[in-house]
Amino acid sequence: MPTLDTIYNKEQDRIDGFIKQFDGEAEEVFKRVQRIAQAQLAGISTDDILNYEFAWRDSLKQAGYYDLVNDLIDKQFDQMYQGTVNSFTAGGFDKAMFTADDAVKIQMLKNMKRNQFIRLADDIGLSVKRELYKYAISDASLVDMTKGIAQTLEGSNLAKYSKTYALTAIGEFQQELIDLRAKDVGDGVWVYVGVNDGATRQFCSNLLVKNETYTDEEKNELEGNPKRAYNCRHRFYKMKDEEAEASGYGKRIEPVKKTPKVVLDTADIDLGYKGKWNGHINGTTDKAKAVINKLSKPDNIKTGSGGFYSNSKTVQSPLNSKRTFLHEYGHFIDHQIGGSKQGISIYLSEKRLAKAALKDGEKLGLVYEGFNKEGATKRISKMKELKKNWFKKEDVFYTRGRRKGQRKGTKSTTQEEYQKGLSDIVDSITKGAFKTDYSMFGHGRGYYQRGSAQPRENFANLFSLWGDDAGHWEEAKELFPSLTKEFDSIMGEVIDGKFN
Amino acid sequence: MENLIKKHNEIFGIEPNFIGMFWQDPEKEFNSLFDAIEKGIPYDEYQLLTEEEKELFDNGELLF
Repeated sequence: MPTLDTIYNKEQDRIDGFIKQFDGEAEEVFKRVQRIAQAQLAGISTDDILNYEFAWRDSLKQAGYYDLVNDLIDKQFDQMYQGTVNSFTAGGFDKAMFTADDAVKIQMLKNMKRNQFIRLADDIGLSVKRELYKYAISDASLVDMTKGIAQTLEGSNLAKYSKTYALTAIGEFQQELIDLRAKDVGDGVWVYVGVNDGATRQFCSNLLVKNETYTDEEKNELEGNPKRAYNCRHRFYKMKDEEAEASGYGKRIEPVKKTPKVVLDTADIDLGYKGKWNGHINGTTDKAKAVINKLSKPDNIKTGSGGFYSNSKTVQSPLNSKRTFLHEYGHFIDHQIGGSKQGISIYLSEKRLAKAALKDGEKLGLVYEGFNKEGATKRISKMKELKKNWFKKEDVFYTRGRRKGQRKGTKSTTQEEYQKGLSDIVDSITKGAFKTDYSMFGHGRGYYQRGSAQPRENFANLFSLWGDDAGHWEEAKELFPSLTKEFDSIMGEVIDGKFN
Repeated sequence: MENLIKKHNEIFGIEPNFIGMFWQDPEKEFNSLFDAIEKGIPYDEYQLLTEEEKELFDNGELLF
């Protein structure tokens, strides 16, 4: 049997879906009202204004306003009966079907809601009428009159708050249905049901946390409290005493402790060296800056034609390559958060990324067990496919001597700079085959034959892709779901201060 | 680059030893390999390291 919460959630989901649709339709209707009303009413004379009400309502009709209201009240309201009956069953009341007598009362309730919407539209009509009087007696131009009507309609509450009015009407009707049936089902208590989230008013949140049961009088008093006001998503449901107790009502629900929002330290970073590296490091995402700010900075940063990181906490990078700098800085971070084992410092990636790389390699078909033709064929085919996606040849020329300016050959590179990081990850997974056998970008077989090289380089490449604000992380996630997930998790831990 | 690697393999009977020291600069890598072939020396990036760097590299303390 569904619980009250299940019934409530189902009803809310349906209402949310309808409101979304209603909101879109209402906007279209108001645009039409505006257009039709302007055409019908602008230029009206003081004599004609006597017939104004007819013209206004005709505009509403032509624009589909009444159809919109009828759809809300006839179709949506009618869908609430079963949910209400179910809620009583969940509350322990067996016979809660609506009676013929209820049907008459329900029809009255529906008409009251329908009239509310008609009255709302009529109030706007009156505002427009007042505007028209003003223009008619001052002999205003047609253009001014049209403009005045448009402004009055645009500023009307109905146009601005149609969604709120609809939500409130639905909520009120739902509660009225519950109240109507509750009178006849027998003795019981009231409970307050609904979500308690960031959008919940304090008043409702307190009631939900207290989780108490209420008498009829208490419920009526709370229900009428103006603090519930418009749009309230919570309802009072009636339950039998024993059912309420069995469902846990009457016991306080401790509010879910909200995880304190992590405030990222995104202050600009100064690495020294007269700021020559600061452009690279500050051109990273907020999260990357937060990670860098959490940790210590390298002892020494060198400029050189090649990039490397050494255990002496030295980072070297060509000055003009942000990707290389972030790659080497990634090694520095990996080393810094890795801790030590038997007095020897280690890299975190060795513990955290090795399995993930294997998983991604298997998924891509780059790694397979044993020696088998099918596995080998799949691996070759994947490397060819990736090469096709990324590979680019570029001419290399002699730069000096008698052949200066002549073509020397072609170098292998990638179509986009960031693809170098992706290519090197594939190279690491294939132990350097992607570079050495397929001339793709990477560190090569001589490097990746060393066991620890793969996870360490993956960390550095992932840091460069993750930290750069060029927005290629999503592509990395698609290609290497396990590696990127684990890396995201590590970065989250750094931000949370786990490694401080 | 592909042709150059093939040529290296044909001439020396071994593949060039890339250890990643020019991983970020394909042009430099091409030129280094080209020069080695022209000089008739098998390409070995490890031999381009200083003794101190070799020690660091061997101990896994030098990463490219």
